[in-house]
Amino acid sequence: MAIEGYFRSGLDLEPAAYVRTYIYLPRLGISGSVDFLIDTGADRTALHPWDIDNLGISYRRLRRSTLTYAGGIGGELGYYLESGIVVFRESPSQTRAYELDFHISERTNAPELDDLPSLLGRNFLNYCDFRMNKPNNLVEIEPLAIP
Amino acid sequence: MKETGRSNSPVSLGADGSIVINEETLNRRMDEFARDTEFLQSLMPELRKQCPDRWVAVYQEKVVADAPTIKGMMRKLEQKGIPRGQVAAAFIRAKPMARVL
Repeated sequence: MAIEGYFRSGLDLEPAAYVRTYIYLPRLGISGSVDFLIDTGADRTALHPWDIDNLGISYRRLRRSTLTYAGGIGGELGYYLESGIVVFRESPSQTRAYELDFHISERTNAPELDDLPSLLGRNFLNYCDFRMNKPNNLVEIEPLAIP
Repeated sequence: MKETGRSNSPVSLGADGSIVINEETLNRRMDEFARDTEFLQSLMPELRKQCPDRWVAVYQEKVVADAPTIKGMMRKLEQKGIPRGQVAAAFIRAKPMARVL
């Protein structure tokens, strides 16, 4: 059975494909629910301001040595690398868990970036069969060979 | 007891590095979060009129806080003892903005 996503509407002009997850960051001892925008345009899986604050991630505990920069349409933003676990549900009682690198965006003074959604990127999606069909309200991810 | 994103995780690592999941707690939290996200989404037209350009937080299918900034909203959530990592929230733009990510 594949992992089912959903279309979120109301926030953006066009409904967007999301997937519900629960993530765990072992080094920080932090966990919580995160809904990711499924983004085949993103190299990396990224956590953005709301989810960072909601999870209670402290910037003091992030490793400066892991800071790298990623470019987007709006410019460049720094990200701290943190290894973790992402858990999906494929049915009400079945879960699937995978190790995954998360990139945590640095704090900015740009409030317009605060509501960027967290992104499930190609470091996960490239190892999946991903199907999306908006007319049929279908979003499915089938992990095939997660490294 | 106040629950935070730092405690009572239903996901952990075993001594051998394997992933250990408390399915009951995980399913409960994911169900609650899904309900809150759907509730927030259902309120969107109303919130656009009542709380334009503000952050709005939903917990246990109730609007529990709103503020113009994430920082302000987190302060309100902390004051109310609402657990981190379990709150559905969104910034309600007065007019939806096109995104190109």
